[in-house]
Amino acid sequence: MSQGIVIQGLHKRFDDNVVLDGIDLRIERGEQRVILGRSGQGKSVLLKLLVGLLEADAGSIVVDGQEVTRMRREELYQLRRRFSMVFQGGALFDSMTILENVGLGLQEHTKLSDGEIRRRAEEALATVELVDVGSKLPSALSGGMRKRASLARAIVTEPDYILYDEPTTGLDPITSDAINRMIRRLDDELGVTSLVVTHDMTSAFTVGERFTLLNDGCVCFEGTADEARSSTDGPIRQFIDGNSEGSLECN
Amino acid sequence: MWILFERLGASFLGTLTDLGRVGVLLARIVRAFVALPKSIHLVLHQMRIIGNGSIPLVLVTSIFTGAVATIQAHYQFQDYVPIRFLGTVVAKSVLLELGPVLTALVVGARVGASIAAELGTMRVTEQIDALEMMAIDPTRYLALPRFVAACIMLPVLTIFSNAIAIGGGFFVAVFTLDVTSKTFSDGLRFLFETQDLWGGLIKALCFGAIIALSGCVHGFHARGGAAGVGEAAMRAVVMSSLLVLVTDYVLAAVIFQVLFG
Repeated sequence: MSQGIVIQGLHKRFDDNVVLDGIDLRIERGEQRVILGRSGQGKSVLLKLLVGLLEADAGSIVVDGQEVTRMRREELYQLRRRFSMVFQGGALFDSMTILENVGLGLQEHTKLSDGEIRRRAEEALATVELVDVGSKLPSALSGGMRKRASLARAIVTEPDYILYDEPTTGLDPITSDAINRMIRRLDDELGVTSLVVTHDMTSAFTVGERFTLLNDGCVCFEGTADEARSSTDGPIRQFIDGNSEGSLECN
Repeated sequence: MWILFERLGASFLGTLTDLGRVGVLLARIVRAFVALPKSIHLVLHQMRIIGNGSIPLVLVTSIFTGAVATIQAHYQFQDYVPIRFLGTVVAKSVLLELGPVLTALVVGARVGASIAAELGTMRVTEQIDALEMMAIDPTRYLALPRFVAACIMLPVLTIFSNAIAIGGGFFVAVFTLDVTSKTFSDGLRFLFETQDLWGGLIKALCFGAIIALSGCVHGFHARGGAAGVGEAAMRAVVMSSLLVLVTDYVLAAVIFQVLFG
């Protein structure tokens, strides 16, 4: 059984808008992959297709040898228990305290005692350097703290894969750097495979080993961080430089 | 002219889509019932929100419903029907129709909008996606507790409404219409059938299901930020109100012509 994620000929459209037009991608286990692209190029859609939150129009997604696109609901739930996702806005449950948010996955899927769940949730919060916020509601936290709480919720269930959807969007540069370093540290410590969707190049170079650039529904660059950094022309150079003139046209 | 037909067609298709979604959600809720024991704490929480939170609204509505029903009946009885039937008519109309339907309409507006807005906000802020990512079925975690709680609390609120409405009618009859308390009380007992009460409660249970389903369906399918959430809440109230009235007719025919006929 092949490990990692293999995507072949993946298509997705919303009405007349073709978002993914037959992309092929291979992500090895333990890899830190960054998916780059301008807004609206299907980066977040790709993440949601990976775990069956959206249905692909055509193509294949194989995770650790299992075909995702043909999975039934129950099989998808089994698969998702090996994944976690940090959403763009955090997606913390606003009617629950931070501790309840972080502990929910354990409460639903394990037979651990309430005390043990609490201990593990507090430990996960400490790992992302959040202390004394467990009893607070998400609305009482700053954007950076919400992102970190979301990160704690993602790691507490010890997943094999963590998907990050624009983890630093809307944060100031200092907080962004703290989040990036935290992601990198967690990836190294926990040995998870991570997919980070971003258009923030500082974030990309901090957290990523390999880069994939999406444009017009296709993969237009794939390579290591060093290859991306040393490229002198082409779409990846244009994207790194943030140049509006080139093959990556502004919509 | 064509635009009118197009709009009518689109509206008709939209209604069919909504009803289809209600059917699909109901089927999923029924399938999720096996996991009800796991969600008991959520059901109790929703029962508190739906039940306790609606009491003041139902109280005020019911007092005035009973009072108005009594005044109207008294006015129509003059010179035609003996006044001893006043309590009978008030009790029958409250138990069979006014109690269940008005409770469903006011609770539907409050609870249906609240469910749609809460779930709609969860949808547009990706909280429902987050639940899915955590392998937690949103139907089991969000819809089932609201459905069960509404099905339990609507009959409870209807019993409360019936008592308050009849009390309101009694108060108005005795203190403003010069009807003696004995005349009104004898009228209440005269021709009282237990099945009238049960019929109203069966209606209330169905209305509870309608309110929860309308709120959940529109909440789950909310799109596009604050405006989308607002529209979901509005559509949930419209749908639950219309379905309550249509279902009231169907249930009246089924319960009182077939079941108790």
